[in-house]
Amino acid sequence: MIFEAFRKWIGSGGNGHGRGGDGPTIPSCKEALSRIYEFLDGELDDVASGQVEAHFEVCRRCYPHLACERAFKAALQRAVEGRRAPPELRREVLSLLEEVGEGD
Amino acid sequence: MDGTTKAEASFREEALPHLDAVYRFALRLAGSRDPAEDLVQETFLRAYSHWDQYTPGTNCKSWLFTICRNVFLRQQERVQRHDEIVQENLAGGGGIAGTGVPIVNQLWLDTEQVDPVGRFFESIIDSKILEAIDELPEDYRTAVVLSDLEGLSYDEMATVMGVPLGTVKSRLFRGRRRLQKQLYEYAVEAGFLAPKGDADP
Repeated sequence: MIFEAFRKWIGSGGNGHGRGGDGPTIPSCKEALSRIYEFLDGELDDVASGQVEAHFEVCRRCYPHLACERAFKAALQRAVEGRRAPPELRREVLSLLEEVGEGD
Repeated sequence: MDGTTKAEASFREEALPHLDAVYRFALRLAGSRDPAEDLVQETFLRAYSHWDQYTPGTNCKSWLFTICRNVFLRQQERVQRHDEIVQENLAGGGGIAGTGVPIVNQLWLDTEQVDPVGRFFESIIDSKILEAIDELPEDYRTAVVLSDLEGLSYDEMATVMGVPLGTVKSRLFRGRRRLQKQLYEYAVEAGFLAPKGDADP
């Protein structure tokens, strides 16, 4: 178990704790938390997104905050899941388009 | 390949036998099982990554204990910095860039003892969530609906709402926080969630 974790770790660039140009840098708690919404909304580029994600993977204090925001988003999405326009409305709109078409 | 296998073998032989001792030590440092288990994992991970710095046959247990203690101290520093951020935000400094929305969400502070990962959201029925959304001020409501219900990007939202990107973010983040507050208060009222301060010591 430890060895798989180690191989995965070195595969990702190793101990990137802010060591100059080479390895990836892991942002601080403040930096990561300040970008949490942009990260969850998919508005960060790959590099920035990877950095923020890395912080939440290693920081036990911050990870619950990410989980909380995700749970909130999931609840909202659940609330509108599969909501479709009523069939009568769909029929009305389609017939409206047909009428307009006939006028040509 | 061969070097890695050799290192693995010698690590298994010399370091792993001390797992129980390191765990006992971690338990005294960290105080409870979960953080102690994390500490042990990180200790062995770090020990393995620095295995070439260990002189075979010397006191491996002490070496592991030293690593364990250093990892623990670094974790404590991180906790302290985290608490400092909270203090900083409560004092009014900082904020999500450009929007002035506090970095630290009050919801996290209110639920950290009783429900740190927001499980209570699952207990709220859909109609209640929609009701709470409908009760938001119009600007906030529009932003939350476009983003969280309809999945528009910030750019798309700026076009639809006819406002700059900064305004989109400000309305969206504030709208979310407001909505979360409403849902939190509802959950406490309905009994799904203990209010802050009710947790067992």
